[in-house]
Amino acid sequence: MRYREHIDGQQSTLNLIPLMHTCDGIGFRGIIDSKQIATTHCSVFNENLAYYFYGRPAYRLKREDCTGMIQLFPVCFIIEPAGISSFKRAYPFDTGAFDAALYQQHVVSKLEMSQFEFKPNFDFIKKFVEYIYTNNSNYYKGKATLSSDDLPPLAAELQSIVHIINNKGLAQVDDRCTTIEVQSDGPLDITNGSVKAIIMPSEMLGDESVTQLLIDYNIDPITYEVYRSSPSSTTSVILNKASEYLSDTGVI
Amino acid sequence: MSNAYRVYGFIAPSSSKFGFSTPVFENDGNLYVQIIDNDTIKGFEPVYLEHLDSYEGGVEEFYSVGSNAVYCAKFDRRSHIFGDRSYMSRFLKQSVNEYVHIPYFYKAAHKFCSLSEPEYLDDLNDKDYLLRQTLSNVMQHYLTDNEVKVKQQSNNCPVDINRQHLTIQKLFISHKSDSFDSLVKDIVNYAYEKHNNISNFTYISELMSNNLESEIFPESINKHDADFYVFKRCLSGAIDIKNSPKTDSYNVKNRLSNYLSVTYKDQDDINLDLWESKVRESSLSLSSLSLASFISTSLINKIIEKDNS
Repeated sequence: MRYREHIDGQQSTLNLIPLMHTCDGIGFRGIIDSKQIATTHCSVFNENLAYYFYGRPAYRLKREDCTGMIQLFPVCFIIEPAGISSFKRAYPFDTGAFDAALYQQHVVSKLEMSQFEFKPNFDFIKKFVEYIYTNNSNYYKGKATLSSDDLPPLAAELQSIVHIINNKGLAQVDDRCTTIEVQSDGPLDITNGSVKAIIMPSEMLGDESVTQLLIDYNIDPITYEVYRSSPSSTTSVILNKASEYLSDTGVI
Repeated sequence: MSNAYRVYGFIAPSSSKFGFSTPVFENDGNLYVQIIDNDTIKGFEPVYLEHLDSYEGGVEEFYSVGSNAVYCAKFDRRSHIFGDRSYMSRFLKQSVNEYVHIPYFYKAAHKFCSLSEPEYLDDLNDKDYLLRQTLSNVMQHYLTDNEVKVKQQSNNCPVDINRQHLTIQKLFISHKSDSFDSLVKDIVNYAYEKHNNISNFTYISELMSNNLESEIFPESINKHDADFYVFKRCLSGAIDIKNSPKTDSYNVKNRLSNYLSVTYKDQDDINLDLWESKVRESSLSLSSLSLASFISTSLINKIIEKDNS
């Protein structure tokens, strides 16, 4: 039995975890103005896509692009998966990092990225999480409960995935390797009720367009204080805030 | 490269007039931000910035690993204020009246140095701050669309405080009604027309279905004679009562006598026992009283800001 069929045969009793979409302040402004998370050209897949991470705000802002104030402080949308109208693809890791050969030494050679592709539905994602991590909380922490010994001998893709997850050094450097990526080829209307919360610097609430969006569409503000964090630590600040939200809402 | 990093400028996540900023240091021509551990600088990491607010202080400030961490806030009229936690805490507490009507900044300052202003009780979450910020934004438009003016007036009867005769300024708000209750409700209704979802807050409905003045004024105060300061002090007294356990009645009454001492000439006529029991029995909760306090403080601050601009 091959990778996708093997996972599809597993149980799926877990709750869905919200998707996370992270952007910088400039991107946030554009999303508020257009009221949508738009697709942009992706050079890896050579098509227009919007990217989300399942349950974790794993996206990293590129440091070399951070040349202004507003770009240093990320904003993260927490979104109900049902709000994604056109689910294109999903992968067990960040495809950009795979494409940049970040996982090279952990993946069985000759395996192409496309061989890791999920079936494009959330039930498949839930089965994957339950199979590899047992529960959502372990998934959030990047703690696999499945060991390589439990896998079918020829399941090269799963062997590679478990190897990536269990490689503590790699996970510490970059949690994108343990986070499921969801791609959509259509825009997400942020006023359709699927955006549940937005994590942002508290100063951004000073902008009337931000408060208007939050109050009118019942979106929870989750704010962080910029005085606490250097730019390199905002990722962990956002990770903690997202974890609190998921814990408070009973998802993990 | 020297171990001393000079404060070079500041970066903030938005162009808001008030907010915390991140100090940027310069060393050997390169820019850095501090890495903070327990209020101490444990290192510096490089940043690449094209624009930042530059520090225009007259004195060069140098820091190194092991120095107290530097915190910075942008203040409307005074540019950037910065210093260690102790200095900034003192500054933020002393200047709270300047930003008490700016919820996002109050919240950040509260997290930094634990504030407890009556405008922000009780145990507020992010949504409660969002409601206040929404009302604050809407108030700006309300003042444009409605004729609301403040008028200061000297009291002809000096008040005797600690054997000193003081002439007290009274502050009146002219509006379509002379009642503070109707003014607060008018603002909430105006906000509701723009943002229906504010009705999801139960304490908004509570505020709208009770008469503030009847619920919080001591019996002997004449509503028609009360100026803004008397209203505000009564509100603060009522908040204090609601926020204190019944067993603390003795201390509460001591504080209540102070609330009106500088604003109300007939304070001795006020029966504090009756005032306390009236407020305790009132159906207005601490949350709705605190919101009313926020609305009235913000209103005055915004009128003054508008008049000054």
